[in-house]
Amino acid sequence: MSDRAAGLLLLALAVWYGIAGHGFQSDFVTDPLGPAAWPVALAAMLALFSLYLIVRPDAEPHWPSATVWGRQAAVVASLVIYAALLEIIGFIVDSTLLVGLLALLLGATRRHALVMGVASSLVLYALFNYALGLPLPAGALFGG
Amino acid sequence: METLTALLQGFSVALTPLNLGLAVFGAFIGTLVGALPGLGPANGVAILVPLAFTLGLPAESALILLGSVYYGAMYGGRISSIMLNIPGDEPAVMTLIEGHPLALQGRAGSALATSAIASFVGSTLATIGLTFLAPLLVRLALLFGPAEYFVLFVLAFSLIGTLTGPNLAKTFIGSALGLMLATVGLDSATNVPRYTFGELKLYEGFDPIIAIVGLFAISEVLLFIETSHAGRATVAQVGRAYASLKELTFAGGAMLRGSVLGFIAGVLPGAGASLGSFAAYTLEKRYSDRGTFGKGDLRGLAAPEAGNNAAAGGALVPMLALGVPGSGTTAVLLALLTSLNVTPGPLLFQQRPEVAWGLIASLYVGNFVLLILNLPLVGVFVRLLTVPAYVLMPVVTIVCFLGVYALSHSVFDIYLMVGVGVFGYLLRKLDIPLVPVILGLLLGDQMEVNLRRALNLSSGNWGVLFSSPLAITLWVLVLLSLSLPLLLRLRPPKVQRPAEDG
Repeated sequence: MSDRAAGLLLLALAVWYGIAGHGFQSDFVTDPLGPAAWPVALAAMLALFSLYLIVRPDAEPHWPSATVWGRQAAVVASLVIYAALLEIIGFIVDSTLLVGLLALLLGATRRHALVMGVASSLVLYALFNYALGLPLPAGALFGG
Repeated sequence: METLTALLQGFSVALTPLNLGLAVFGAFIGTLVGALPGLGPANGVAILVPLAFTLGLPAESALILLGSVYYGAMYGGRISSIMLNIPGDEPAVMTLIEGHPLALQGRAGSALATSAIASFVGSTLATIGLTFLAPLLVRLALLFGPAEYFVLFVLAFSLIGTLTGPNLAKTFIGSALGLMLATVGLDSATNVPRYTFGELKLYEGFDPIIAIVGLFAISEVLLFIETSHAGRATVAQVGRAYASLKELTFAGGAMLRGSVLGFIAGVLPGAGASLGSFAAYTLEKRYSDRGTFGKGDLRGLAAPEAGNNAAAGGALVPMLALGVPGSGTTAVLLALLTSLNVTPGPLLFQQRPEVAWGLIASLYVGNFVLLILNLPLVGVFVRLLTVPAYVLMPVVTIVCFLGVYALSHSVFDIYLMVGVGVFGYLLRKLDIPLVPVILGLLLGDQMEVNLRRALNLSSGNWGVLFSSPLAITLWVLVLLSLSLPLLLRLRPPKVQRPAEDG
């Protein structure tokens, strides 16, 4: 079932990619193939194998339970939020939050997560900023 | 002779204090990356690529650092196989079969020592092979025109197709996705923007480093959430890592056989270390099993360990000489080189000998460092195995972010990396291998350029692809590689969930 769904999505991608690729043209002729031929060929290749996937799918992969899905979604969300806040609240605060949260999701106790977050963000900040000379954002909130 | 002179010059590069320090540091990090379950060689190297890049290291130093990590990971993978019964990375799966029974019998010390020496033998023989085979291949590659290069790329993809993953169609889907990603950006022949959606950042194309870190490392974090069990792993007791002369002579033949097989498997583009260790174990079992295999036979431990290390060295041959990586991790090394504006391939040995030979020489040095790290100091790594996942994974994540952020100081790139990571997670769940995606992304542009150049020279006559004896030979190899697995069934078994292949 998962393979079939993936095959359908990939087939749609191939069709879109091929149609978009077909439209590429250059104002002057440079080579016999031009910019369109290669994408169209790739689209055909992907379409062919995604059709195979739809016709002959593998056994169902082992998808995680809803709780695990929730934790994974939480990880992705926290990564996105981390990136969004990085230049605003700065590396140290942002990383403390992210490391702490990830540690909690991976089964650390609250105290361990807090210690981990503070320690690793400070150590990495010192390492990058001073030892390696890669300036990290201090955060607009703190005048960085 | 010429080769030896070049190698000596390589040593003068490898033995400068900076490069020597980087090799030692890389060897340590590599062993650690290999030993920790959940961090494979491709991951480990991918995480360090942006760092090596932003530190402004010269090309040869960056490559020496990552080359040592790569070799080190091949040593380290065995430690968790033996001590925890969990493969540290995919090539170490075969090490587990004999290694863990030995540990349970209280012979962890001799298992660790024998496998360290097997790793050393495999790596050293492969590095010698690399030293002499690469220049030969370079001489051949200098005869390649655009048509031959195009067929060579076809060969690389057909070999990956037959040698990785249980499902051929899925491997080709991975290749197609990678090749499609490579078309994003300005077409190099006509400057027509393709698949850029008017986004200026995409005009330069999809940065392979961001794609690699996302695909390998971020997807690994997501998979880890799924499989992690809170709490610490239990580690078998280890005394001193020590093997008697008798044990070593007993396993010596297996080491040599494993090295040769592994090296050959490594040289084949797309095969990599997993095939090396798999082939070495299978054939060793067929050759010397008298009912002792599976119960802790040192020969069954030495062969795959020598095999995976030899394959790692072998995989560098096509990467350096032809610009076609032999495995996932060498693909990452290729990405590093192209980001540093160094083009691997035959011209590398002529134009940038310090990069090619500096790396090769440093691998000899790194091997000695690794032997020391993995024999007398192996206890340090065994103790580090008990570090809980909640310490390791968050730090790995932050280092990935820092590396990518440091590349461009762009938050957009981080979003892109997370997006690619989710995509990579889905691909891995569906058993669509990541190595062909990376290879497609890295080789796609050159593949298209060479095809168009060949057809341009022939004014559109497709016969040019079959016109030279060299091209025809390569086509024959393509056909062979597509039909061979049906005859041989030489394919690594599917295992529970090892870190991505080296």
